[in-house]
Amino acid sequence: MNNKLKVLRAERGWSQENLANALEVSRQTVNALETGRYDPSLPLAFKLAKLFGKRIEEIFQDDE
Amino acid sequence: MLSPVARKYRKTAFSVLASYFVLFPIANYVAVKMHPAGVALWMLAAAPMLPIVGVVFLLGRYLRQEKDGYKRDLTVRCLLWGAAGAVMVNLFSGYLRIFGWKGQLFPFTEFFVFALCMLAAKLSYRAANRVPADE
Repeated sequence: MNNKLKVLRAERGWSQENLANALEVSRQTVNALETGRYDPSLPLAFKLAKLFGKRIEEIFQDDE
Repeated sequence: MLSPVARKYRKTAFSVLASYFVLFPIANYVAVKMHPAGVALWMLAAAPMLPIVGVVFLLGRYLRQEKDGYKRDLTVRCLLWGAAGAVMVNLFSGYLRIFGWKGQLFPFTEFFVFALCMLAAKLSYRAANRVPADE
Protein backbone atom coordinates (compact mmCIF):
# COMPACT_ATOMS: atom_id res chain seq x y z
CA MET A 1 0.00 0.00 0.00
CA ASN A 2 1.30 3.46 -0.91
CA ASN A 3 0.86 6.44 1.34
CA LYS A 4 1.53 10.17 1.49
CA LEU A 5 2.53 10.27 5.13
CA LYS A 6 6.03 11.59 4.56
CA VAL A 7 4.76 14.40 2.33
CA LEU A 8 1.91 15.34 4.69
CA ARG A 9 4.26 15.32 7.65
CA ALA A 10 6.83 17.46 5.81
CA GLU A 11 4.13 19.95 4.77
CA ARG A 12 3.36 20.53 8.42
CA GLY A 13 7.01 20.64 9.44
CA TRP A 14 6.60 17.77 11.87
CA SER A 15 9.40 15.37 12.74
CA GLN A 16 8.78 11.62 12.96
CA GLU A 17 9.05 12.01 16.72
CA ASN A 18 6.26 14.66 16.71
CA LEU A 19 4.01 12.41 14.67
CA ALA A 20 4.82 9.36 16.81
CA ASN A 21 3.91 11.28 19.97
CA ALA A 22 0.64 12.50 18.46
CA LEU A 23 -0.26 8.95 17.44
CA GLU A 24 1.01 7.40 20.68
CA VAL A 25 3.25 4.96 18.80
CA SER A 26 7.01 4.57 18.50
CA ARG A 27 9.19 6.36 15.94
CA GLN A 28 10.01 2.97 14.45
CA THR A 29 6.31 2.54 13.74
CA VAL A 30 6.08 5.92 11.98
CA ASN A 31 9.20 5.07 9.97
CA ALA A 32 7.80 1.64 9.04
CA LEU A 33 4.53 3.29 7.95
CA GLU A 34 6.32 5.89 5.82
CA THR A 35 8.54 3.34 4.13
CA GLY A 36 5.59 1.04 3.45
CA ARG A 37 6.92 -1.81 5.58
CA TYR A 38 3.83 -1.72 7.78
CA ASP A 39 0.18 -1.10 6.93
CA PRO A 40 -1.65 0.54 9.81
CA SER A 41 -4.57 -0.96 11.68
CA LEU A 42 -7.96 0.64 11.04
CA PRO A 43 -7.93 2.62 14.33
CA LEU A 44 -4.45 3.96 13.51
CA ALA A 45 -5.51 4.87 9.96
CA PHE A 46 -8.48 6.80 11.38
CA LYS A 47 -6.21 8.53 13.87
CA LEU A 48 -3.88 9.59 11.02
CA ALA A 49 -6.79 10.80 8.93
CA LYS A 50 -8.10 12.88 11.83
CA LEU A 51 -4.66 14.27 12.58
CA PHE A 52 -4.03 15.37 8.98
CA GLY A 53 -7.66 16.43 8.42
CA LYS A 54 -8.01 14.12 5.43
CA ARG A 55 -9.94 11.01 4.47
CA ILE A 56 -8.15 7.68 4.82
CA GLU A 57 -8.19 7.09 1.06
CA GLU A 58 -6.53 10.47 0.52
CA ILE A 59 -3.58 9.28 2.61
CA PHE A 60 -3.41 5.61 1.63
CA GLN A 61 -3.70 4.22 -1.89
CA ASP A 62 -3.91 0.63 -3.00
CA ASP A 63 -0.91 -0.62 -5.03
CA GLU A 64 -3.13 -1.69 -7.93
CA MET B 1 11.38 4.64 22.68
CA LEU B 2 9.44 2.13 24.75
CA SER B 3 5.70 2.42 25.15
CA PRO B 4 4.37 2.62 28.74
CA VAL B 5 3.04 -0.94 28.36
CA ALA B 6 6.45 -2.19 27.14
CA ARG B 7 8.19 -0.41 30.03
CA LYS B 8 5.79 -2.05 32.51
CA TYR B 9 6.36 -5.45 30.86
CA ARG B 10 10.15 -5.13 31.01
CA LYS B 11 10.13 -4.06 34.65
CA THR B 12 7.78 -6.84 35.78
CA ALA B 13 9.42 -9.51 33.62
CA PHE B 14 12.84 -8.58 35.01
CA SER B 15 11.58 -8.96 38.59
CA VAL B 16 9.91 -12.29 37.80
CA LEU B 17 13.04 -13.58 36.03
CA ALA B 18 15.18 -12.48 38.97
CA SER B 19 13.13 -14.80 41.19
CA TYR B 20 14.32 -17.69 38.99
CA PHE B 21 17.88 -17.09 40.18
CA VAL B 22 16.65 -17.53 43.75
CA LEU B 23 14.26 -20.44 43.17
CA PHE B 24 16.57 -22.58 41.02
CA PRO B 25 19.53 -22.73 43.47
CA ILE B 26 17.15 -23.46 46.35
CA ALA B 27 15.35 -26.22 44.41
CA ASN B 28 18.69 -27.64 43.28
CA TYR B 29 20.02 -27.61 46.86
CA VAL B 30 16.90 -29.37 48.17
CA ALA B 31 17.10 -31.98 45.38
CA VAL B 32 20.77 -32.75 46.06
CA LYS B 33 20.51 -32.79 49.87
CA MET B 34 17.09 -34.37 50.44
CA HIS B 35 16.59 -36.59 47.37
CA PRO B 36 12.81 -36.07 47.26
CA ALA B 37 10.62 -38.54 45.38
CA GLY B 38 7.08 -38.75 44.07
CA VAL B 39 4.88 -35.67 44.42
CA ALA B 40 7.58 -33.76 46.32
CA LEU B 41 9.99 -34.21 43.40
CA TRP B 42 7.33 -33.05 40.92
CA MET B 43 6.63 -29.95 43.01
CA LEU B 44 10.34 -29.25 43.35
CA ALA B 45 10.81 -29.50 39.57
CA ALA B 46 7.83 -27.18 39.01
CA ALA B 47 9.22 -24.46 41.31
CA PRO B 48 11.99 -23.08 39.02
CA MET B 49 9.64 -23.41 36.06
CA LEU B 50 7.13 -20.93 37.53
CA PRO B 51 9.10 -17.73 36.77
CA ILE B 52 9.57 -18.81 33.13
CA VAL B 53 5.85 -19.51 32.79
CA GLY B 54 5.26 -16.17 34.52
CA VAL B 55 7.27 -14.35 31.85
CA VAL B 56 5.24 -16.07 29.11
CA PHE B 57 2.06 -14.95 30.89
CA LEU B 58 3.43 -11.39 31.12
CA LEU B 59 4.30 -11.47 27.43
CA GLY B 60 0.71 -12.48 26.67
CA ARG B 61 -0.56 -9.59 28.78
CA TYR B 62 1.84 -7.21 27.00
CA LEU B 63 0.52 -8.33 23.61
CA ARG B 64 -3.05 -7.78 24.77
CA GLN B 65 -2.32 -4.29 26.14
CA GLU B 66 0.18 -2.92 23.57
CA LYS B 67 -1.61 -0.38 21.39
CA ASP B 68 1.26 0.00 18.90
CA GLY B 69 0.32 -2.59 16.28
CA TYR B 70 3.76 -2.55 14.65
CA LYS B 71 5.51 -3.36 17.93
CA ARG B 72 2.96 -6.10 18.61
CA ASP B 73 3.53 -7.49 15.15
CA LEU B 74 7.31 -7.64 15.66
CA THR B 75 6.95 -9.32 19.06
CA VAL B 76 4.65 -12.00 17.61
CA ARG B 77 7.07 -12.57 14.72
CA CYS B 78 9.97 -13.02 17.18
CA LEU B 79 7.89 -15.46 19.24
CA LEU B 80 7.13 -17.44 16.09
CA TRP B 81 10.84 -17.68 15.23
CA GLY B 82 11.47 -18.89 18.79
CA ALA B 83 8.67 -21.45 18.58
CA ALA B 84 9.94 -22.63 15.18
CA GLY B 85 13.43 -23.19 16.65
CA ALA B 86 12.07 -25.11 19.63
CA VAL B 87 9.82 -27.31 17.48
CA MET B 88 12.73 -27.96 15.10
CA VAL B 89 14.98 -29.20 17.94
CA ASN B 90 12.15 -31.28 19.39
CA LEU B 91 11.42 -32.96 16.04
CA PHE B 92 15.10 -33.46 15.24
CA SER B 93 15.83 -35.14 18.59
CA GLY B 94 12.64 -37.21 18.25
CA TYR B 95 13.69 -38.50 14.83
CA LEU B 96 17.24 -39.13 16.08
CA ARG B 97 15.84 -41.40 18.81
CA ILE B 98 13.41 -43.13 16.46
CA PHE B 99 16.31 -43.84 14.09
CA GLY B 100 18.32 -45.47 16.86
CA TRP B 101 20.34 -42.73 18.56
CA LYS B 102 20.87 -43.66 22.20
CA GLY B 103 22.19 -40.32 23.42
CA GLN B 104 20.26 -37.47 24.99
CA LEU B 105 20.27 -33.76 24.32
CA PHE B 106 20.97 -31.33 27.15
CA PRO B 107 17.69 -31.03 29.16
CA PHE B 108 16.99 -27.40 28.28
CA THR B 109 18.11 -27.48 24.64
CA GLU B 110 14.61 -26.61 23.30
CA PHE B 111 14.30 -23.68 25.66
CA PHE B 112 17.76 -22.33 24.84
CA VAL B 113 17.08 -22.62 21.11
CA PHE B 114 13.71 -20.89 21.63
CA ALA B 115 15.38 -17.98 23.44
CA LEU B 116 18.25 -17.85 20.94
CA CYS B 117 15.96 -17.79 17.89
CA MET B 118 13.80 -15.10 19.50
CA LEU B 119 16.85 -12.98 20.24
CA ALA B 120 18.28 -13.49 16.74
CA ALA B 121 14.93 -12.50 15.21
CA LYS B 122 14.69 -9.43 17.43
CA LEU B 123 18.23 -8.30 16.51
CA SER B 124 17.69 -8.88 12.81
CA TYR B 125 14.38 -6.96 12.82
CA ARG B 126 16.06 -4.17 14.76
CA ALA B 127 18.86 -4.00 12.18
CA ALA B 128 16.41 -4.11 9.26
CA ASN B 129 14.17 -1.43 10.79
CA ARG B 130 16.91 0.95 11.86
CA VAL B 131 15.37 4.39 12.16
CA PRO B 132 17.29 7.16 10.37
CA ALA B 133 18.01 10.47 12.07
CA ASP B 134 14.81 12.45 12.50
CA GLU B 135 14.04 15.09 9.89
